Amino acid sequence: MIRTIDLGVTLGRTEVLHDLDLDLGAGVHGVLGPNGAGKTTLIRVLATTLRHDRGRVEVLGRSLERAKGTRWVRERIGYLPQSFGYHAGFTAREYVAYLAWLKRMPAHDVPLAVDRALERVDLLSRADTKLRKLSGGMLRRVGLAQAIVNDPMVLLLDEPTAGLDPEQRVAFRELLREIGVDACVIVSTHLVEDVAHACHDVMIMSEGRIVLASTAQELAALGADSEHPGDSVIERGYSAALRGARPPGTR
Amino acid sequence: MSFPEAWHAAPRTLQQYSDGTLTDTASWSVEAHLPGCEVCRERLAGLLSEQDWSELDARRQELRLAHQPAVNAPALARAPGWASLRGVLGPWWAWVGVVLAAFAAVTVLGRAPLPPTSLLTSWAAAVAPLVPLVMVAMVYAVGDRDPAAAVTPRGGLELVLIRTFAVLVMAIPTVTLGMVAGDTAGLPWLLPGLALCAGALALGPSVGVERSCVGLAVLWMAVVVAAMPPVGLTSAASLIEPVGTTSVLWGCTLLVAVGVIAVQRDRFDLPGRLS
Repeated sequence: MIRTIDLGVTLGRTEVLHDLDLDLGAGVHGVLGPNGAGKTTLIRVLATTLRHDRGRVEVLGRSLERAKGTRWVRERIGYLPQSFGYHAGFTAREYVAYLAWLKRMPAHDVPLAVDRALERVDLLSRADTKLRKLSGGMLRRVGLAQAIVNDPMVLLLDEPTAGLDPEQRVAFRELLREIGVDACVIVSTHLVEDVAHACHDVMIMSEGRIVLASTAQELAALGADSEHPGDSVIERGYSAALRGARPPGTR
Repeated sequence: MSFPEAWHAAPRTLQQYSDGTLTDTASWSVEAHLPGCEVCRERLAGLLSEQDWSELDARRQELRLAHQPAVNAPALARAPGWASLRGVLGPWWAWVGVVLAAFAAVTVLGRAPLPPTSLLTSWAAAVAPLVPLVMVAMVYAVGDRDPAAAVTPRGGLELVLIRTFAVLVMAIPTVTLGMVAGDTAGLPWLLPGLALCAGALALGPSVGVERSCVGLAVLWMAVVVAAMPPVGLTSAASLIEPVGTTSVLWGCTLLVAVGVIAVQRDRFDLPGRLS
């Protein structure tokens, strides 16, 4: 559903992404890496908000070179940005309904789709609360509701678990697995346990490159016999991959 | 799944089932068979009458509603329309304020005395064409700046045009009434006002609509200063209060700007580098 060939992005003088090759289908794919690794840039390119400089990007088989194809893609994706500039005066329901309208959903489908999205993130009881009165974790879930309101085929989530408490995180991972059955979900995170519990496979990024692409189990196996720091096997696997203890692996 | 012919329900059985004349036990068998057999479902569909279909649709709708979460019906009924308007323009009270301020400014400046050597007939002429431009900049300041909204199919050109149209609907009567109240009715402000607005949109994909609005507003103010003493340029004064050939110039500027917007309309909908 997502394919990139030699994708490169330079912002200012910094080369933020180097020759990225991706080929991702349905499932939940984790993008893990330290701050500044290029995770957000990658998500923004795939979400059609940032123009790439080199290489090719195809989302759902369409290139993002032309406006028509881009609009077509935009109807079928969901995007949770790292921070969203919502109107504090909106209620949760109004905000999601507004995004549904922007996504060109048929007007008669909007009310039920909005409530379904809010129910899936467990916020239906707060649907008529103004956004300014919601906690950080709740806002994050409203953001997720707008991302899934159009039943996207590609869902791009930038640090979705930031601000969620442990219980909400568990529910969130459950939701991701559910959506990932037939959609392509890409989750950027710096939390190793998100990857361990919700993702089929993981790409570890460092300085604009993918240094390791493997399944979550393989990452744990990498950590099991490593001396690298970390509280769990998968965390140790992550540190091992980052430090290049082994040559960048491919699946 | 594919079945040999013997495994399918006999045509007569299906006919009786659709008429409701099949025995209970046989109906039960048919119902057990249908979910797994596309062929029989299709055959049955062919036997259904117009009335059967409308009954089915009603039943389906009923089921859909029964499985929906409890909803707040009045909030829902008005949600999409109101929510979109609020998202596009920002809170209504901000616009009440902007419209009142613009009206007051045009009225008061219409009556304010100019320096005796000024080439302008009224301060209102210097300010009125700026009103639509400033309001376009405002809609970007108080409307939503949500990165999630920017990557929607409506979030590009369509949103820009809706916002500009809404601004013009507010700005044109406001300025016109303000001029009437300030005894300056008849000043030719609309053409420069529209041309500045269109110019800002034409530059939008390259520098961002907000930035182009601010840039053009500053440029306009520079022209205003040029028409004042001690500079006192006649050409600057006739730009602000277009007379004769100058209004043709403004008309051409407007047409060119609209043309530029049309030619590069796709750039509004492509991934960018600005936000």
